[in-house]
Parts: sequence; structure tokens; C-alpha cells
Amino acid sequence: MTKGQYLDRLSESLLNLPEEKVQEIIADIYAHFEDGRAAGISEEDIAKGLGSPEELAREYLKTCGDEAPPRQDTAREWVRGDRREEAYVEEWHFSPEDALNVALWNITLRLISITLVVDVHDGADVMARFDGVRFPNSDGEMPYIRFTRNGDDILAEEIYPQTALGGLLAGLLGTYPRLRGTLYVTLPREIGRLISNTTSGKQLVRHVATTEARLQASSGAIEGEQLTAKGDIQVNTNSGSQRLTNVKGQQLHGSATSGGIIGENIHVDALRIQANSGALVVTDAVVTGDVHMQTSSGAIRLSGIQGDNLTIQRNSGALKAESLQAKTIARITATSGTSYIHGLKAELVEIHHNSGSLSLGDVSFGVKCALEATSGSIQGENITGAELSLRGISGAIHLSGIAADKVAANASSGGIRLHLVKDADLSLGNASGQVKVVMPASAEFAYDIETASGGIEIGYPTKGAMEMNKRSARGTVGGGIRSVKVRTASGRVRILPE
Amino acid sequence: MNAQFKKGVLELCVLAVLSRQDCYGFELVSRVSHSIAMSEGTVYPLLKRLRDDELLTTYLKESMEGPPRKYYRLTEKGNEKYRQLQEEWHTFTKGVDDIIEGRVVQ
Repeated sequence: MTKGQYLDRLSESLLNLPEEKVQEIIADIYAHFEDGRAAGISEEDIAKGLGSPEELAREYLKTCGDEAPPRQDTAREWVRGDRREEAYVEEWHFSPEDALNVALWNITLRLISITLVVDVHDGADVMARFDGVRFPNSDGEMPYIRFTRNGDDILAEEIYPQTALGGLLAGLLGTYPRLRGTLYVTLPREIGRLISNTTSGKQLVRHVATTEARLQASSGAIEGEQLTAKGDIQVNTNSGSQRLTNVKGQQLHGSATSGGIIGENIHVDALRIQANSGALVVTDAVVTGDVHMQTSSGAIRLSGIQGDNLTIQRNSGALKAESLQAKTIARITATSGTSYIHGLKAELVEIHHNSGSLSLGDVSFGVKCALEATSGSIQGENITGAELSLRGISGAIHLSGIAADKVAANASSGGIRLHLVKDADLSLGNASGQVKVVMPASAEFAYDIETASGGIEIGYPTKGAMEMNKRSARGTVGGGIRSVKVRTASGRVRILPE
Repeated sequence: MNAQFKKGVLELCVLAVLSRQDCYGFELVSRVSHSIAMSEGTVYPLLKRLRDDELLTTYLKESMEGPPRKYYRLTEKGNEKYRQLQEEWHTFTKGVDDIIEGRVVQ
């Protein structure tokens, strides 16, 4: 049995007890697991040593099942327990009716309804986690944190000189690993590292300038807003979703297992976002380095993405992208599901599609654009660049508004229909299906066409036709500047002027 | 050994360990359960009861390995209880020993 399973079963068996007691018991057993693991014992063996969770729960119920509600002075006991901290107790600012112990207890146990605002001085490291909260500064010292009440909020202020009280608070918070609530960190000035780790609570991190941020949540969501890091930002959720707005930093790495990821207004050196079954939505990302986006079954929706190399990998979810810009390579791969890409600019564009259809608009590339689809169709308009390479196995290829120097297209069974706004060297191959090419009326080219059946039609005035029958045609149009070569097994071939 | 019997002496064992030194949960549980071979799971509920009865108190202490640990400490009341239980135990075991060794006059 794993720690998680053990604690789940234990808390289920303790349902009759007040929530506070359950939290405390869970915390104790959680710490036992942690300490056991630190001593090199496997979770399995620790669980065995404790006996069954149900038996343990029965023992607890015997001990405190029919007792009066928890005493309010427990927290005070804890504070008093350590002589070091005792001196500071008087400095806790609460009105008389909000006794320290009660307030502390509230923070510890009722994060669901209370917002904890933590304000830490410049350069301090902040680590906030529900299952072991600590707030050391860069020297590893615990700052002294004073709490004041502000409406429903508890305001935690860092007070000089630093003392171990912060650690005490951390300990109190940290003793409750299974809190379900919101950890709300507001850090208006620059801090050191921000590390947060929640189990099921939601994390809201707003207006934070940090050297490095690592936010993790197993089932809760993470929301980051106005988050700036000198270094990297890592956001990791499992089933919870993440929303990152106005984020600046070196590398932003967001990953989610089943939750979705939403990014908006991101300025980073490198962007890497991975979702599994959740959707991925990114709007306005300016990245100096590479951009990598990946999903398994979740859909991807992108708008306004700039980067050096841009890689989009998806499996079955659909892709809808507008305004993508890569300085070097834009590479998009998909297994199934449709892709709609409108506005794509890169030196090199590579799109590999398996079964879904690919729809493109306004694609411009410097060197080469290679589009490949196994069974889906490829269609698009306004494709501009040097060399365009198209490959379809069973789907049709239908592109209009092509302005390229060189166009090569190969299709196994679907037809090929191309509309060129500029004359180009053409090399087309087709196993079955029609080939139709429309070029400017002014195009001058030498053609070489062969088809097994279906016939050939050249819509241009041809001079010096060397050969012209139903199966092959060779000749020259105008000065014969470009070359047009078509090979098909069956299907009609037509080369027509606009 | 009989489980009920062990449970009875468990409280004494916990108090004895804590009378020498403050311990955190895992440390205490390991020591006690290894010496008298009982389920570690029985110690935690006992710790909770002892604390509720004010024989123990807890406090947090920084640890090198991770988050602060909850330490258990004997209160004055706990100390008294320990002395009382210890005396009872000695009287009891002496009585048992006497029987086993045949020192009891029939």
C-alpha cells in the first residue's frame, strides 16, 4: 500500500471525528511515512508496520471518539512548547477576542475560506507548500512573520529581525498535508525562489517577481498572474488545470496530465508546454528561443506565437492556430484530428499529418515548406516561399494562391489541384486521381507529361510540340523558362492558364 | 506475548522513553515497537490520548531533512504518572517473579 492509499483509507475510516482531529491524525501519520522514508524504509513496509488503516482508525476512535470538541488552546500549547518562540507570542497582533490560538488554528485548518497573504522581503527565498510550509531566506534563516487580520483575510507580514517564528508557522501549516483550500501568495516585491506544492488546494500566485518559480499541484489548479522570474518557471499540475497570464522569465515549462493549460501574454526565452488529455490554449507568446507544445488527446489552440524553432506535436486532438511565427523551423506533427493553421511564417515549415485533414491559410516561408498527409487531405490558400513540397498518400491535395519557385507534389490516390499565382518549376506525381494546375496566363514553360489513362489537356498555345497524344505530351510554352513535369498512372492531367 | 498485556505496558514504555529524551513520532514509535514487538499503529493513538490527558505536550523543532518535526515531551503530570506506573510495574513484576521463582509462601 502506498502512503497515499494508506492516508486515504485512514481518513475515510475517521469520518466520524471532527475535521480538525482528522487533519491532525493524518498529519502525524503522514510525518511517520516521511520520516520512515528518510530512514530508508519503503512505503509498503511502513504501512505494514502501522497495521491496517482501519485498525489504526479504530484505535483512534477509541481514544477520542466521544470527546468534547477540540480545545482551542492547542495551538497555544504548541507555541509555548518551544521556549525559543515563547518571547514572540506577545507580538502577535490580534484583537482580544481573536486570540492567537484561535486565529492560528483557523489558518491551519480552514484555508478553504481564509486567504493567506504572504509578503516576504526582497531577496528571500519563499517556499510555500501545504505539506510542509517553510519560509527561509537565502541564508536559510526563518523570518519572523506577523499576522494581522484584515476582514476575512489574514495578512502575514515579515518582520525584522528574522526569527524562527516563521518556521513555527511553517511547521503548523506544514503539519497538515491534506488541507483542501487555497494557498494565496501575494509577493509584491522581488523575492528569491518561489516553491509551492499543494495536494488538492488551488494555488493563486499573483504579482510575484522571483528568481525562480516552481509551482506544483497534484489535484488542484494553479493560477499564475503577473509572474516574473529571472530564471525558469515550472508549473506542474496533475488533474488540475493551469492558467498562466502575463508571465516573464527564462524558460517556462508547463505540464499537466489531465488538466488543461491556458497561457496568455507570455514573454520568455524558451516555452515548453505539455498537456496529456487536457486542452492547450496559448495566446500571445513572444519567445526568443524555442517553443514546444505537445498534447496527446487534448486539443490545441494557439494564437500569436513567436519563437525561434516552433514545434507542435499532437496526437488526436484538433489544432487551431492563428498567427504563428518561427525564425527558423516550424514543425507540426499530428496523428489524427484536423489541423487548421492560418498565418504561419518560418524559414522552414514541416507539417506531418497522419489521418486528419490539414487546412492552411497565409503560409510564408523562406526556404522550404514540406506538407505531408498520410490519409487526410491537404488544402490551403496563399502559400508563399521558395520551395514547396507536398505529399499525400490517400487524401487529396488542393492548394490555391501558391507563390513559389519550385513546387513538387506527390499523391497516391487523391487528386492534385494547384493554383499558382506565380509561375514555378513543377514536378507532380500521382498514382490515381486527376491533376489540375492553373498558372498565370503569362507563364512560359517546357512541359513533359505522362498519364496511363484519362487524357491530357494543355490550355496554353504550344509551340514545337514534340509529341501529343492521350498518354503523353511534351512541348514548350513561350520561352520555356520553367519546367512542368507530370507523371500519373491514371487520371486526367490539365495545365490551364488563369 | 498477549496483545492486551502489551497494550497495558505500552503507556509505561512511551513515558519511559520520553522521560529520558524528547522524541518525534517516528523515532519514538520505532524505539518502542521494536523493543516490545508491537504494531506501530497502536502507538500513535496512545500518543494522542496521552496528549489529551496532558501527560505529554508537543512542540515543533527544525529538522535537517525537511519540514519541522512535531516533538513529544513529558509534562510534569506525565512525569508523575511515569513514576507511579513504574512503581506499579516493579511491584507487579516482582510479584510475578516471586511466583515464578517459587519465592511465594503458599
